Amino acid sequence: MLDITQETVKSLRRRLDRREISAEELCSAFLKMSQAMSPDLNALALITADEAHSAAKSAQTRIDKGESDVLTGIPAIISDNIMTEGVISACGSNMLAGFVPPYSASAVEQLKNAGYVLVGKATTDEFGLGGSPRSGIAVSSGFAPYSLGTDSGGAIRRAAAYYGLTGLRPTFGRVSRYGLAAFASSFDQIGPIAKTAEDCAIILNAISARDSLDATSFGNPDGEDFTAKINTGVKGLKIAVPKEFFGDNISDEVKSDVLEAAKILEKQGAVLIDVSVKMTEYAAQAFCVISSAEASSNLARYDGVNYGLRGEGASYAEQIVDSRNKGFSSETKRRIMFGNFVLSGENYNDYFVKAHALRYKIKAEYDEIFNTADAILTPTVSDLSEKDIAAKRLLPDFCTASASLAGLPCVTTTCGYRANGLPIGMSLTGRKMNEATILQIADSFERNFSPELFEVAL
Amino acid sequence: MSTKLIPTIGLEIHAELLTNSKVFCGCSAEFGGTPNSRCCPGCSAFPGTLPVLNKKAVELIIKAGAVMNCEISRLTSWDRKNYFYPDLPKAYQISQLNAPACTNGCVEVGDLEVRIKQIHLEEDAGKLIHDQSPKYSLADYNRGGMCLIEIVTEPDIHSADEACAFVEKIRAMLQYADVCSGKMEQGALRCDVNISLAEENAPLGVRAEIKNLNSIRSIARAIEYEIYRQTEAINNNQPLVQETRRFNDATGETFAMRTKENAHDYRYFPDPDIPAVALTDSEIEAIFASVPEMPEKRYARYTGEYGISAHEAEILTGNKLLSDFFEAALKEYDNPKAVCAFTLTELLRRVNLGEIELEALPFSAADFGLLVKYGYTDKINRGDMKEVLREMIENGGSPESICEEKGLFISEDLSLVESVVDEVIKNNPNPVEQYRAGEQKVFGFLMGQASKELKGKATPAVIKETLERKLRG
Amino acid sequence: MENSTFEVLCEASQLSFADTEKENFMERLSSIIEFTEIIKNIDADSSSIEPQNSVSLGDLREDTALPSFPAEKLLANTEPLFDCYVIPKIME
Repeated sequence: MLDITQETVKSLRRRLDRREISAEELCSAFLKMSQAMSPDLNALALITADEAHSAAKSAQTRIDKGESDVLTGIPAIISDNIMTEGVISACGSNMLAGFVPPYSASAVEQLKNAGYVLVGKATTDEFGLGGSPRSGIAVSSGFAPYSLGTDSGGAIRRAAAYYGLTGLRPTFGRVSRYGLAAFASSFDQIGPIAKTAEDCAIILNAISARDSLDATSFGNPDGEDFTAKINTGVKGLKIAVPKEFFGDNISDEVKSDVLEAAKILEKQGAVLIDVSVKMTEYAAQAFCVISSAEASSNLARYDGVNYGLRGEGASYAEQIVDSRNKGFSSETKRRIMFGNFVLSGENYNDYFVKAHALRYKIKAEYDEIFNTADAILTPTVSDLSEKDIAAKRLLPDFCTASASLAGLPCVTTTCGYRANGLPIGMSLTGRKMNEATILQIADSFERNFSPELFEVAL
Repeated sequence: MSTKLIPTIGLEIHAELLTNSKVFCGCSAEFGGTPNSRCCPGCSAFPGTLPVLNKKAVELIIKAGAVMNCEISRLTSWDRKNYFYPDLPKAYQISQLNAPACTNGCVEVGDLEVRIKQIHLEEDAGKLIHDQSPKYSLADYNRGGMCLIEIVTEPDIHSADEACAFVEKIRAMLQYADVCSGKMEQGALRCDVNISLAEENAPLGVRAEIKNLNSIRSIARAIEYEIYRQTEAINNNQPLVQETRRFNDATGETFAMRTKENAHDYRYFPDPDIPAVALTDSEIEAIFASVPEMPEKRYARYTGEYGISAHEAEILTGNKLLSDFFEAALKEYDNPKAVCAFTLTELLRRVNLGEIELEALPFSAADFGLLVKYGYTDKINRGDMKEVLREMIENGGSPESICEEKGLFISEDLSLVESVVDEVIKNNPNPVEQYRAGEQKVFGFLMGQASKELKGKATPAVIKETLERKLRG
Repeated sequence: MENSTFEVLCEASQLSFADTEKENFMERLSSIIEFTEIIKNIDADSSSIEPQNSVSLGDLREDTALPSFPAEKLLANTEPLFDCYVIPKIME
């Protein structure tokens, strides 16, 4: 029997097409793994066994007819803050416990049309607010070869970094946000978490589309194939290494592994350039201000009136406060209160407007670098001390916030391991709408770093 | 108290746009419907749904800006106005604060010039129903998300009469431009009144805002009451507070609202879900060019070119549907006075009787024009026009087929007239004798006999001429 | 943080806090404010918030009414009355 934890989307496609395994067998294997391990890991909010079996059956029919798509019959996990029609989508919140949406996210619709098999919904921080990496657990534990996560300040990238995976935050607007329960609208993006950059490219092909339900989506206007540059090496590509990401604020372990990765890429033919991005020092703060402001407004709809937790109270005013008191976690309340703080009175100019100014300054710095470079290499997690993490609890650090602020695509792949055995990730940020190049670089690195992933099913 | 207090009034007029779909989703924008039947996850504020702006709504607000002589923003954007109320399921209203579509306009009403501060686009709220249950209020989001423009004036109005004349004018202009139906009874046009009192040349007084007035009459009554209330307070040295009030139609009084709306900080910020819209000069010019003739221009044309009386022209242009109908009828029969006369007497009479509605007439303006043409060109007797119109209303059919069927067309066959008159003279020897002996009054009797036979087949003039000739002969 | 400021934020957020949790929560809220305070020093004016991207009139949605969503599906996550959402009586 094959070891499903080692399989990629690409390898499973081959096995399905060669009839080495059926979609139903594959589905059962992943379901078995999920049912056995998920409770301990608290990785899945819901296992959708019945739906999965019937989807696998239809997928196999499609495969047998020779009408299969690249994702037909391949199991997937969807983050719980992404709506799935008829399947509970609670967004990790008490507020939406048991909420069954009568519609699916547009990205999910795309996967449905491709014949995917939904195995379950991944647990998430409440409304994706915390940017925690937990959506990586399902893929690293072998519940499915890939998952769709959401990335506002860095959750997809952090998931990849913490669990030794590859995660892509697409350019803002590449994937429709329709059906992704909004946390911070100007940052939220749906993206793939998988084992390789190539898998991420395959999934991006499937989910990027201009959507008439999301006015900020532009999709894939050039009909680009994001796998086109996979396995073409990095010869001549210019990779910028900003010094601000390799200072005192990064642990030595992370620093040395990411710089080591840079050297490997250089050996593969890439050209390294030293650059500086001064404004990124404030990236986490700017992200925190803007995202909280947007969240305070986005989460205002949760009042228990037309769906969700309904509190008690003799009057509307009492009932709505009770609904929200009971429905939101303390951390979410903090973000809502802070968001309303930065939008109130003079604070609007002191915080909100300043954060926007920073956002554009950071974007300008990145644009400047992209005049010469093809990608910017940084660590994904600064690996601050426990004390620092406690102080800034659940705030994404500046490593991931900058690409979010600039709306740029960013891929994280594994580039090393700590002394304690936990993975270390590196991020490659690309030009707007140029996912193909950062995936190309990550792929080139992965083929050297994790060759075993490319040997299966050959 | 001898000093005169002058009211200063500014208006906020909310007008629902004539679009097929809502402003941020594809749901039908039709009025009414069973509760929540014109809704989707978007306008019901379900998680993850997003607003997608309606193109027509943007075109219509620019049209509104054109008729009110506004400047049009080349880059217009949307903001969130955050507040909790159960008729607003997102708990924010998408509106325009930083870059409204239209600014700095001006509308003249007689001698009064009212400056338009801005016109912005926003979404309507849903409807709360309070009378279905003793314990609960019910929320119906059908109206939620309908396209609304808010026209904000500068405080240039100083009486209830001026306010009403201004609202009437805005309403007619929006109707003419096909921007808004103007149906106040359906809430398609609603008005908030800001009013304060102060002595002449003194700084403005403390203002009250009276919300949601939905008829011209209630605007007038609410203003009159506020003038009374505020005057009393000032004269009795009672302090006024800036507050939001409502008008009670039954008592004719205004009262302060319980909600703490005045304390609100709406925490506006740019809506990240809706890209700003950049408009080109040619797009704006095309919309300006599509604005039809406004009522005052039509009035001038009617009284000048057509020679219609001022009173009649006012009635015709006061209602766009009527005026449009009149003009369409003229295309069939270019006799403005005749068409106007029959429109104002017969058509309006039947509308006022409730037999027909201008919105859904059972016949075309062209058929109406043709009927007037028949009457005024002696194709039928003018006295028969009413009967034909009744038939058109009750049983349908064209004037041609009705006149044909009823034999109302006047015959051009003079020999028929000759023979009928000969017959009348032959059958009535005594009256003929009397007439010839100089008793003129029996002519009427003989005329009647001939007309009865020739009903609808000859004009009275021809019958009279023939009868006189034969009697002489 | 002033108590009155905190109350205003509670009202804006439609949240309330028991006396026992209030102090701790205020502290945590203050810590996030302190963390971000540094950005007050950044140069910026209101133009910083002007839209960076725009679409043209032709990109907007055509005004076509689509069939409505079945009301029973919208109302399925609550207990409706007369096809309406239910709230405690509002006095205006």
